[in-house]
Amino acid sequence: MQTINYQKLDRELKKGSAELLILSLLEARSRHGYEVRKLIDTRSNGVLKFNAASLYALLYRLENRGWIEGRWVEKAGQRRRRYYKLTREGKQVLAAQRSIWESFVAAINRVTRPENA
Amino acid sequence: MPEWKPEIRPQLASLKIEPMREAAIVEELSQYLDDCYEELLSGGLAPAEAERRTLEELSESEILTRELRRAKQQAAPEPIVLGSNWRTNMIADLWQDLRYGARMLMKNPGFTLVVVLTLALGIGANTAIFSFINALLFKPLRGVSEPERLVQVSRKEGRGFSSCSYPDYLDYRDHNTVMSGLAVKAGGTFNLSTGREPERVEGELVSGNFFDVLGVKPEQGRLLTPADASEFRMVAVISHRLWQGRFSADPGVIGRTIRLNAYDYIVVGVADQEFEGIQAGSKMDVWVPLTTIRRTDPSGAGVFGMRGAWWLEMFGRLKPGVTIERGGAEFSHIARRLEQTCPDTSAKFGARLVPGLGMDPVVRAGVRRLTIIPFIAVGIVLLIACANVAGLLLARANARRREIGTRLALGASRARIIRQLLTENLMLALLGGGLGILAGVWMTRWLVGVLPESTPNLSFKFDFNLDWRVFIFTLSTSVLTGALFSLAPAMQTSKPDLVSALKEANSTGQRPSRTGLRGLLVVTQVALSFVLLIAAGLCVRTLRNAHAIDLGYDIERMLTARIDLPEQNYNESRGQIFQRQLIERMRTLPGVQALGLAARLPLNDGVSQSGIFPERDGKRVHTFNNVVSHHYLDAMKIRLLIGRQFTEGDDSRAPRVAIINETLARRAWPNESPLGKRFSTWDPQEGGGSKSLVEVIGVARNIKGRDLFEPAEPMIYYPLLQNYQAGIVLHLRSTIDPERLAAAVRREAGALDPDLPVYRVMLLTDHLTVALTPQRLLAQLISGYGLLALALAGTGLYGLLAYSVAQRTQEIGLRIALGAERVSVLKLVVLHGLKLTLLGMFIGLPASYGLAKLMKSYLYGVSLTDPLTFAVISATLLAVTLAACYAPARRATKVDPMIALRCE
Repeated sequence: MQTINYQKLDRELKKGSAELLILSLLEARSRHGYEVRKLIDTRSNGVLKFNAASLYALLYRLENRGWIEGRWVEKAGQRRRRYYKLTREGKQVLAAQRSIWESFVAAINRVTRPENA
Repeated sequence: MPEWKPEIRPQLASLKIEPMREAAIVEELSQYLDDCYEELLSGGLAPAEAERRTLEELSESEILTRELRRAKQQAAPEPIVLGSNWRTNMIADLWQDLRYGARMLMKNPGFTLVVVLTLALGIGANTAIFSFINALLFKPLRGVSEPERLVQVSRKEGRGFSSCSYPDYLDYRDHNTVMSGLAVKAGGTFNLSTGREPERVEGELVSGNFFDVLGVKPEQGRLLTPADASEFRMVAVISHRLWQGRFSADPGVIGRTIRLNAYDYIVVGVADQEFEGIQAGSKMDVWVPLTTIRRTDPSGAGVFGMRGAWWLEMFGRLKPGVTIERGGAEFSHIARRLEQTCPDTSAKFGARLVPGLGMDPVVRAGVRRLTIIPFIAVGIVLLIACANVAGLLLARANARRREIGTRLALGASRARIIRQLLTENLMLALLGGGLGILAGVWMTRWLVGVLPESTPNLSFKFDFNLDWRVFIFTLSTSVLTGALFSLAPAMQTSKPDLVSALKEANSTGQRPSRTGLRGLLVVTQVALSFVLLIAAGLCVRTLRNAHAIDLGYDIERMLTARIDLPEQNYNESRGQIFQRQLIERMRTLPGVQALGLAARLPLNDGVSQSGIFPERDGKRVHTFNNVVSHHYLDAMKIRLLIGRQFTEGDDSRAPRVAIINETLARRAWPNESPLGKRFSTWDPQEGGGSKSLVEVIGVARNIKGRDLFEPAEPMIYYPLLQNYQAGIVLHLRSTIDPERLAAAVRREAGALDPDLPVYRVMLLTDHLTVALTPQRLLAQLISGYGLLALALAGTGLYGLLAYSVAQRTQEIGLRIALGAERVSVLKLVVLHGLKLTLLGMFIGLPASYGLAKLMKSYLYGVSLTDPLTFAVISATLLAVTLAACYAPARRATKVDPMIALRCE
């Protein structure tokens, strides 16, 4: 793993983890923005919170990078909604980020484990 | 629910995002806020509090705007957005139109399929008729080089090709400076007897430079040369077809001796595979030098020196750069000189050059005339298909009003939208054209299947395969079709009626003008199919009438076969012995009831005409002739009205006799009995006739022969025993299967002379079918296309009614809710359909009369306003209308007022 200074680590962690959250949630199926936000909210037991502005800033950024793709979908009896799904590139990014995250968490765990006397 | 959009827009205002993108973001965010608000409400918050908490969601909007700004900077150059008109890059626009069009077509596969199939039928019908015309009139001769420089030399008088004498040919050949070569040919048929069963083959007697002038290449060996002609060599060139078939492509055929008309010829070469002679529609198999006549018919060789004997067809190749006018002028000049030197024979001959070797201009004009009507028919089918598709497009256009309204609102110009719609429709048309070619190939095959091998005027051995002309034709038809069926809907759709288009949340609102335009299209379809069906009806009636014509003889179970006796093996007495033996052998065949010989068939055969000079006043009466054996009239069941039949006693030693028909009896000997009257066959005033007068011994009933539809012409039968004919047609009436009889006939003739081919073995009924080819073709073609038109018009009507019922669901529901009876609802729909059909028929009436008038020369025994045809066709159309009304009308009566009104 490359070495990074603390400031950068903090920033990358925040940004990268948020991206990872969204990419992971879109892995199984396509979802609209509010659904993504609700899932983050419920699955993190309210610890992680996004509001509309920050969520969409992230969604549009991921879309702009070509990792996810938004599409208007009309379903019978509902208003049309914009659904986001993972692109092929997004899947690769997700796999890479996931392994970085896992090795990061493992590294942190190793460091922060209470030392046995 | 609070309106969020006014809160969101100011946040994005500073970004100046492209309007469509901005609208999408605003919509997406406002939906998010809706969801959020609803959840807060359901969580028990007061509306005001819920609204406040919802708006907090936008609190960090600077993150969003920063993100969007960054995205905008990174974004590639201005994307092309449908509906924008900023770009002037045609190619990019076109590419975009094509992609968008393809997406729209794939989105509605059912619609696309129906449209493409409809167009394929319409375009295919046109392709088929064009392939046919192309084969007959446009395809150049095959196997010759630069066919455009080849010209036929013809006499000034008359419109058709005409022939010339050998001395004339030599003069034109040796004194012109405009041709790189001038050649002549004479048609001939040959009995080919080499090893296997004898065969009758078509061939040509040609000048030595024939192949040179045409630029034909040999496939094996060599072709004929001027030396072959000048040295009277008995050599022959055979066709690739004959070489492949009869000689199994044996290269050893070169140098082999074959027997043609009982003379030995050495095969020197095989012509190029492509080359099948220069007569369009015929396939030649043998070419021999003209000068072989000096060996095979020494007594007839004098013809080479006779300037008055016109028996050769002359054609030549213009030198490069020489126009046909210049060539023609020089030939006229030579003709004038010939007139002065030989005024007796060459006077008024003149000479002109006719472009396009292959088909006589008179036959060409006839073919062109015959193809006009089918072309009109398929044109009508295509128009109906266009109207049908235009109707479908109009219906779909209504569904796309919102889409187009949005694009117009976003600043697209009307022209840009029309171009997009045209591109989409052009794609449909081209798909239809592609499938149309396949349909065309199939229809051409069917068309060729119903053609006879030949009619008296024209042989049909044409090459009907597709070529680039057919492709170009189909392509341009498709493009034109696309333009035709899409212009009106495109104009209509892109009318800038923005407000209503955008407001319209769903498309159930009634659009009277749209159904009005569609109604007009349906009326057009009905009118056009009415015209076609009337034409078809008249043709079918004509064919029925033609089959019901009293021919004056019995054509049932009559087998005919041709046998030509070659002159070098059969002089008159040997020929007569052969013919007598043939009759005797045939008579004993099982199943043969009666038989007779004749020089000509009554139908579908060439004619022999001359004149007679009754003894009393010596005024010439024009007649048609046939030479028949003594049982012929009985065998044919041609009734003798008065007098006696020919007998075996009417031979060359007996006084000359003849049987005449009623018409000749009335014309030559009006108001008196012609029996015992005598006439001469030469003009007595010119004198010199060595033959004695002919006595009328009987009057036979008129028969229909040469022209089925004309009154009988004056006709004379001469006895075969007094007028020997080397070529005869055997007429056999039998009780057994004609196929078996045909084999027996070949066997018996072969037993008499194994080298003698028996050919054109056909039933007399088949000859009638051939004689009725134009009528039959028209009847089948126009009926087929008429039914197609009917089906298309029926579908068009159904589509319109179904659409209009769907559009009027609310109105119908309201009517039913207000107490309207189901019957009156049914009537509403059916009357709508009937009104359109009746209007269409009314409009089609004068047009159908016009088309019938154009076909007049092909109609028989039926008036142009035949009430039966008009009644049957009208009833058919009305029946189809009712069938088309049925489903929509039923659907209308099933409308549930509650459901219909709830939509409101």
